[in-house]
Amino acid sequence: MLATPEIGRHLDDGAHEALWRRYTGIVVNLARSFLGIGAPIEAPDAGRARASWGWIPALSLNAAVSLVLIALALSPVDIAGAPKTVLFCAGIFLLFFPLVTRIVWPSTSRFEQIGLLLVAVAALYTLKLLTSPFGFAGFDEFLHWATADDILVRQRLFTPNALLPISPLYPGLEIVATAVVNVTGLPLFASAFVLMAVSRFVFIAALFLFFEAITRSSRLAAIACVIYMGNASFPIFHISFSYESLAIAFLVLAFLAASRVRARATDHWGRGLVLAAPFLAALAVTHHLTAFIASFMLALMTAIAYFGRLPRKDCVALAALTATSAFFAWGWLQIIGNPVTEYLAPNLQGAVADFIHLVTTWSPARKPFVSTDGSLSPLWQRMTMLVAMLLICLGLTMGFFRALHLAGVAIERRTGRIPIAVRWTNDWLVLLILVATAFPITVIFRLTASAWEIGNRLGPHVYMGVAPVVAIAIVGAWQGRSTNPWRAMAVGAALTITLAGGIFTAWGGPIELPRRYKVIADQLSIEPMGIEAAKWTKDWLGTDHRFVSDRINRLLLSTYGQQEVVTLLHDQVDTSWLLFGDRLGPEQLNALKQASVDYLFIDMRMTQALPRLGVYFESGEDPRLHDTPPESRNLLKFNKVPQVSRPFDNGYIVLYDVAPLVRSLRNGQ
Amino acid sequence: MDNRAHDLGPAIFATVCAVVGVMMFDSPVVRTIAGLPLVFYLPGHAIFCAAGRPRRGPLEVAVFTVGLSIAVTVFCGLALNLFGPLTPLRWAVALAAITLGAYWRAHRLARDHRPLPKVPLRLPALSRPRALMLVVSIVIAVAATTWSRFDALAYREFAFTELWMVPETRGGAVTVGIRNAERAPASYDLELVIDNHIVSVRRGIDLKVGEKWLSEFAWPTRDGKAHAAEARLFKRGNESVVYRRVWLRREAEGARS
Repeated sequence: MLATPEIGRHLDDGAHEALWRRYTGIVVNLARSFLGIGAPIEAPDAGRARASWGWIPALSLNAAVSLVLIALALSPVDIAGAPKTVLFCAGIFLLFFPLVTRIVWPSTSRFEQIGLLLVAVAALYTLKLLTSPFGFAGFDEFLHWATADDILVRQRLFTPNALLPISPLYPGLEIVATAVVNVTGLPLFASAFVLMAVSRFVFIAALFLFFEAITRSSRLAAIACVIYMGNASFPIFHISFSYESLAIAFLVLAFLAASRVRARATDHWGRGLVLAAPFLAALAVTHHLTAFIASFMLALMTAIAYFGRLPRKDCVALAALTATSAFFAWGWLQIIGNPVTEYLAPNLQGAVADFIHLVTTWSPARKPFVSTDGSLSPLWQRMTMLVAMLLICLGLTMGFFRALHLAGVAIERRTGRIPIAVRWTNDWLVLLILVATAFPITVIFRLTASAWEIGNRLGPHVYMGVAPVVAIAIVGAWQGRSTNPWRAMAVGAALTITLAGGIFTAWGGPIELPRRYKVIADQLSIEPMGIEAAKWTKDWLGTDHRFVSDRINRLLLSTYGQQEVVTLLHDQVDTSWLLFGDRLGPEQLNALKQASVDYLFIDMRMTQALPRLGVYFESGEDPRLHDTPPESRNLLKFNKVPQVSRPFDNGYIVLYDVAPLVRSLRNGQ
Repeated sequence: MDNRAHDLGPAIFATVCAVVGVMMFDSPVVRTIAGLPLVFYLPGHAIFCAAGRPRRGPLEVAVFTVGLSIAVTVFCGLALNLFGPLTPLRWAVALAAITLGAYWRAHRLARDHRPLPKVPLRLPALSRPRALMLVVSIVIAVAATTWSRFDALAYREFAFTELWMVPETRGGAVTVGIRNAERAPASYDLELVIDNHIVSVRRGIDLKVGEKWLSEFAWPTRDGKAHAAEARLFKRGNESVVYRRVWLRREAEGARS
């Protein structure tokens, strides 16, 4: 029988619908499989391997050889052969690729995983030393060096620091460093070196134990630690002598103490509280922002535990821990007179304004991969950083639902006003998943002019959530329990790219080797000539004179020179036009008088270029200073002033003694 | 004493040795060996024992021990600051007092029949070639770091000569200094001008790299008048150009008050 056209159309419709359903089903299944919705993770630690040294010795040797390559690449001397950037990248790849490939391998023992993590941390620490051969080199390191030096000289705490007025009020880091100096007799740099090394090893071991307690898998924990090392703060900033470096170790120790309580049925909440309390107290006197973040995360954890229907006594214990943390953070703030609001509020206000501007206009105030002086990172560096970020985003996408599944999150239907209820079994993992969702915000912050530093500072905390979620994606989807070496190498390569991306981002600009002096570029501006000039002031003029200088020489003067430097932050006097102005007018004379200046320390190299970090002196300075580099004749205008002496000249740095002029200004002459 | 308290003996002995080492010796090596455990290990270990040493794995014990030691050092510093200066002696005494006090508490716990659980610490066997590999890798890493430091210190991106002139603290003279930080030895001529009159010329001041030259010149200061002293440095081979210039200007007596 022949089908009528109408029946044929019905048949066509039916076939189309079936085909549509089939394709939709395939797409849905693919999406479910990609996202891991409802997919259980195969036991990550199936059959724990027997403890052995495994590849630790061989990979340590490999790491040492890689460090030699990196040292050659960082050498300031030009050498024939491959470009130094190639040598540097080869060293980084050779260092991390075998290490992380071995760590992700399913049958690696827990002992070996921990050992390899410690090797990675030691290698990163050595890398930091290789990048700063003169001792302290990072901007923040100088700020805390100045505070520690004051404690050693005056033998008391809370002495003012013009470079960072809040630093002496959070003296945890400096107390421990100066304790080592006092007890051992080592110089401050060596003591700080030992302290930061110990703190890094404790941090990574505590982080591993924390992740292990939450995920109940040493493999997941080890992979999560590797991913954590890929955050831009880890390779350089958190190894530097800075209060955040020690504070984050205290934070992880406190969280570890609290998390282990529930992981072990034999422990009591009380004991966990007692163990976590000293770390929270030490954290409160070490770093303000980290202490507030710890309190916030504990409060969030308490809420999660409450809504997750944790037994009442456990919720009370968590609430008590949150209250303890908040009490310490708030209490210390009150004791020191709450300078934090003044310190952080302008940054936060600017951050919110920039964030709103970015979201409403979609025009980033800060171009990615471009330094403030306009120098653009090379394509290979940009690509590595971009791919690293994309890999993290992919990991988050693929790990999110898998992590929820591992946390025992389930949606239940129920009767009543609210028809569904969400339940979970692993409160800490739920907390970390929530923390991971803040990752896009930190990325957006980095595109703003005012909030990029906040995004930078939040990064390490957000990575505490990002790391386990991405690790779950790796164990649940990317590699699973496969022992295929090619698959392991692909995962190893991906993790190496995330680590390299972190190092390249931490570099803070284009990687140009051999490294040469740049105008106001922190680490790249610290070199022997400036150091010797600062030391000269101490040897020939004595200490504690009041100096006006640029951002870099302020650091050198207050540490190597042990002088007092005038800053807008501390003295509320803007001295930028005193140096850059074309004449010595009333504004400049008033600045001299207000700040009681003794000497001007003028670095003529500022005339060569705009500042790489966007400021010649400090944030908040007049933007007109950045139109063009200053004129030499403006910097040297004091040559013509009768009451001003010029006691030092090395061809690049000139020193003016303005104390007699300031005296006569005070006398009204 | 209960036998179970005996495992604290070595720790107490180590604390006493550390304090003696820190307080009695000037050698940096001895003080470092004695002092580092006093800051980074012993206080935390003592407190951990005093808290009944909760049952945990060896890595966890190590992490909490070191972490607690650092935290205790922070509190100790704050407390010491309340009562006086932060001197080496006071630091050593304070850390030792905390450590020994906590061990005393741990000893009391053990005496009251609450045995301290042992921390199982069993490292896997390490063959000789593998141990050698570890040692060699440490040696290479240390050598690379040391070489890198010396390499960076030896390299001078900026070649320069420092010239300075500072008044003597009691007046009556000025010190003029030259330091050669060029890439090669250099020869200089120095001209001293006081109140627009050349008063001294030194020719052929030969300085090797890193070498310094100092000289004092008389400068009239007791007449109460304003004076100016200027030093001009010329580099041999380019005598027509003033290479460096520094000066001092002294106000008249009345203007200074």
